[in-house]
Amino acid sequence: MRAPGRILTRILAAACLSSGTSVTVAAQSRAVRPVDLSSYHVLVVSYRAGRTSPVLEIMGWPPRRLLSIVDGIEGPGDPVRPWDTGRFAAAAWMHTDAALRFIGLGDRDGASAQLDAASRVLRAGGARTTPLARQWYFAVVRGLRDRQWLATAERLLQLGRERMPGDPVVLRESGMLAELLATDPTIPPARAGLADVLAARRQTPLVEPFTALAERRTRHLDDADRWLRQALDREPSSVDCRLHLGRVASLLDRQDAPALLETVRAAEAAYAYLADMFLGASAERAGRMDVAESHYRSALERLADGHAAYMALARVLRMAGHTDEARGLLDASVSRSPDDRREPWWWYFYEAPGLAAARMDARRDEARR
Amino acid sequence: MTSAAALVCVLLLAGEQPRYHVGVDAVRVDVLVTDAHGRPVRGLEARDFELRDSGLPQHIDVVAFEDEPVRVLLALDVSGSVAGEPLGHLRRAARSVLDLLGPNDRASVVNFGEQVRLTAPWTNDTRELSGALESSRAQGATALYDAAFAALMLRDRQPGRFLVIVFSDGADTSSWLSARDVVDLARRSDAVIYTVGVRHEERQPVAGYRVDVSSGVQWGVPDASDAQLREPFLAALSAETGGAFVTVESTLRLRATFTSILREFRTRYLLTYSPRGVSPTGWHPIDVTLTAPKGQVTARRGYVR
Repeated sequence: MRAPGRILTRILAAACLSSGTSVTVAAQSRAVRPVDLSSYHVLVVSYRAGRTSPVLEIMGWPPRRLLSIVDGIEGPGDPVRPWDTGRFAAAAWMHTDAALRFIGLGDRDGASAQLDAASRVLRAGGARTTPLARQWYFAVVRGLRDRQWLATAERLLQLGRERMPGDPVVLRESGMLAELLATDPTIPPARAGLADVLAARRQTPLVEPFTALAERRTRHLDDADRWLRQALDREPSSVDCRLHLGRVASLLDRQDAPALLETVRAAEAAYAYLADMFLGASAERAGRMDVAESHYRSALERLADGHAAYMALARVLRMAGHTDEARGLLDASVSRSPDDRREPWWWYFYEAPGLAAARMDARRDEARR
Repeated sequence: MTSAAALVCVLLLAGEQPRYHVGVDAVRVDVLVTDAHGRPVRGLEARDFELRDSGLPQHIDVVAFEDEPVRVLLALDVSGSVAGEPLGHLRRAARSVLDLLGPNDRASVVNFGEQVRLTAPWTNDTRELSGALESSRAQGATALYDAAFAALMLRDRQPGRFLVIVFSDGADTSSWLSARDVVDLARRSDAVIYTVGVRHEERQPVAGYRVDVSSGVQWGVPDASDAQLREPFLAALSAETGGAFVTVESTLRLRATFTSILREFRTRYLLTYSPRGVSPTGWHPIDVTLTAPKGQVTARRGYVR
């Protein structure tokens, strides 16, 4: 089968990326393998044995053909059915590695097709691959988030919800990602609020994107609320889920938001700190500054070095006219600033550096054993 | 314009330390007047200005020019994306500002990555300030809003004209406070804020939504460029306070930019007036013009009290 030009470009780009060879040399050195289920098996077995060339080769397969081949796994024409779970895992991670290489090349469509293929592979295993699929979605979504490929992570979770409906991990990750997309510091409500400042300055061309961002924020918050509630129904003991839902619910002015966050205040310090911060922010939005102040002070009692709590408390005190106290607080915070400061807010959406990559490596290693 | 709250007189520390008696609720407005070539216009007096507060003409009590000491706060982005040569350029730029300080001027330095640090408290000891700059390391994400808020809050307790220079090469990624919180505080302050950004090639960043918190590498948003995310805040902050937003093509230009900001700031007029006939609270739009067409006026848009 003759690969289309774009696909061939992908093969060559991937090969050059991995080997550092020139495009011409890479083109001459690659043999063309038929794109069919038998060849697919060869690639999976080879990948499982630890080789990387199958990843480069699968990147060159036309996406539609690839997906149709994957859909034939364990079908009547499959020469090696039934599959063992190790083979499913190897195939899924082969596609994942191909997706990561496409990401490195900046090719979103290529990455999405490979992730779709991996997801279909895991679906083909039915109940046998449910635990494997759950681990895979978690590891890959966190990995994509770590690489800032949030739109790709969003699409992958959509596949996860379609193919593993009701799965608590997929729902929890979906809710957290939707919350991040709604409230990421680079897309905050206040940024939408800046629109009126800019409009006043007649910079109307910039207002439209902010309006669009505000609409996107609301849509994502509604999604986050729905998915986190479904996840919490299935995982009632998840503090993470409760904290994120509490925040999302408070941003949507849901009546049960305070109760959700109050229950988190009994958890360990970092969670309790954030629960107090979110309760404080919620009180601020409601105009109850004394309540907000009380929550921010409570947060500081839990974590004396809490950067966000200092900032929030200073602002509230400043608004209440206690300028000297506000300044004293800020002075205390910015003069100290220890190197090892661990502000939970900084890690609310993202894991510690390297953790997501290490998790993916571990899962990949398991798949290739 | 909180400086006016308990102001019975304006005490000017420079030279003979003259006293100017103005009203209890005096408002101070820093004004830049430039000619058609962008050069500062000097020698103007009170009668050369017209000032409207909330649309009502006001009597200008005092016009000061280069009389009052300067208080410069440098709020410098030292997040991971500034590591390497840009940090060196930034240090040199900051030192060049310190070199221009007069004997009565004072400066302070706030560095920010994901943390906001008071690297050097208010002082006129340039060696101390320079030493503080050398100790800064580039790492982490960008708490631009938190840092700008802290900069405004930490103004010198000694009187003087408050200049804040905010440098950031990327969008905010880790602040607790919002852009609106900072703009709101700026409207209540008499600080003049100059903001400095670095122009990135459009769409150069890889697709994504924010910064890598571990490396500080920036990514743009798929539907908006990095500049669209960053510049509205920096532009709004400077416009609200009568400063300017400057983008440089390269951090190599920071030194010239910083020094030109301080030089320009020194050429500004400080108008003081006691508001009459206006509401004692709320947003007060200000409009400053010249009685004769001698140049272009740049001043804050208004104040909140």
